[in-house]
Amino acid sequence: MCKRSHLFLLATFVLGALSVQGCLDIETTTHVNTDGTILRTVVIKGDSSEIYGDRLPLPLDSTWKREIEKPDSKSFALTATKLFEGPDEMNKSLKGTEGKTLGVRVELGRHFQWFFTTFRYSETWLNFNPFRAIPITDFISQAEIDYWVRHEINKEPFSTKGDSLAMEDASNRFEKWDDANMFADYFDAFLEGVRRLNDPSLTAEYVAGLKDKLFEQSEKYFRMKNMDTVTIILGRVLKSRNVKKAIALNMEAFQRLNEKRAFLEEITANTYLNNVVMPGLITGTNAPTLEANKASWKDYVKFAYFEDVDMWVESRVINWWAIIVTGVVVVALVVLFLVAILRRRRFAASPAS
Amino acid sequence: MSCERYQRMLHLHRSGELTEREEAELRRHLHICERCSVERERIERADLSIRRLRETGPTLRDPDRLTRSILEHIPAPRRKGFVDRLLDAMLTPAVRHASAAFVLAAVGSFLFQYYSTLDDLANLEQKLARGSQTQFVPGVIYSINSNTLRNLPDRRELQSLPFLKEYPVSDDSFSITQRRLRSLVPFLDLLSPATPSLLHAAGLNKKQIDAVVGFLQKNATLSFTFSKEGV
Repeated sequence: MCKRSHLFLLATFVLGALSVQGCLDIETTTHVNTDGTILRTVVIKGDSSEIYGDRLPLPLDSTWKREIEKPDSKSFALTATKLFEGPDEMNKSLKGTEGKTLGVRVELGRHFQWFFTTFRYSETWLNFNPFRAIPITDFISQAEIDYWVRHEINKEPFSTKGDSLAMEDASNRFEKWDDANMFADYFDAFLEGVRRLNDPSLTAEYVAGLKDKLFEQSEKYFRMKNMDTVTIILGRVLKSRNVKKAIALNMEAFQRLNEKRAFLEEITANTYLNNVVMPGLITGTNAPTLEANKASWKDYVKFAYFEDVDMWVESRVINWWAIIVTGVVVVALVVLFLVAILRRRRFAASPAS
Repeated sequence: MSCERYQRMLHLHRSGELTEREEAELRRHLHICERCSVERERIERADLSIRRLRETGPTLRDPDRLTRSILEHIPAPRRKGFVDRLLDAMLTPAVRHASAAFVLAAVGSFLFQYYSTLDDLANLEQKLARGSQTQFVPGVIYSINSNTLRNLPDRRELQSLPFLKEYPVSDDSFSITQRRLRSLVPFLDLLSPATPSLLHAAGLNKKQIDAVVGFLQKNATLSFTFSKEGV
């Protein structure tokens, strides 16, 4: 049976989300200026309820200049722009709120090298997954994650068949981690409910001892968000009729869990395109596509599901004034030296001397 | 003794360099030698003339004024300007070596930075070219499997899709060889992209795979996955 598609589980995840959620097309464009200021433009396309709603996936507060247009009969486009004095101000504005918006961290380095000035801009889209109970590295090695990200974001091909097969195996483990990670939150909420229930026949120790079995039995339904079936399975495995009561006693935690899952669906339903326009000539980047001095990434947010995604660009600006100044000094030195030699020869040849 | 010697002694006598004995001898000779006496007179006349010349030098009314006047007409030594001093300085070893070092450092630094930029650009181009290459794996068979394929009223329906007509359909899957898959590329390029890629690593680029997925989903209403067989 084929397994290759599992390699792209996150893409499937996105597709799944697409089927239940309206999606936004989000394009961010960052212009880095030579003076260190940064102009950020965010264009979000979607229907009117999403554009005019208050649940945009990116932090755009009132300091952003906003314009809404209607490019066609079905969609609206929100364009938000803001000029930042530097990366610090930008970081404050884009840090986001966990569980509500995506967060971005930027760095801008500028190194004056006389003839050239190099710029290094990096933009890190922070891990937005609010479920953090189990680190992904418990299931997939960091090397595998890096390789996968390089393959997907940077479009680096698998070098051997073995590599692609290894990724298939890793994708299965990823699926397992995702379920276990979310289930851990669910289980903690349930355990707290059990403690509050204070039922001698359903103690927290007893429930905790059956955690693995509960996960194993309910994993499939949990993934499908079929929570009624999960509740039934819990009752069956724990041999208790008080499972629903325990859940009801910690309903606020389950509500938060639902909100987290809804947030994940909202974020992953959107399509993302990130552009960075650098001053001068781009000399290095991990972007898969370049167009003049613009680097572009897409499909990167799915990787922020489990780790911070770093996008960076390096560019070099020619300091013409420095080249001219140096050229003038060099030519002047050479000319002075030649004139001095000629003058001495002429003096030596004169009869008076 | 010859007259020549006494005539030389005459000159020594002028400057008082003769001993008394030589003086007496010279006097005795002059008494008896006319030729040497004539020579002595000639010398004495010459000496007298010189003495007179010395005594009759020009007398100035205001020698100080003359001195001043002469001095005024002698041009003062020219003061060296900035350019002269600069040109002189250029020939001193320290300035010469420092200038040469500066020129070398400036040119070297520029060339280094320039070529390192070119090197970075070349690396970047290589990286981008490598990333955009479609990696076909020769000889690998890709198959499409689907549970829903079994449930189709007529599995041959799948083969009615324009570009899948030739491919064999088994009970639950059909296979496309790599070569055939690749031959579809020009056709697939004409299809509109639909969903994100599931199959990038299978050998097609994202756009092409999106087209396959979109076309099959639209026309066959299938949920399917791809895999390699015989690997």
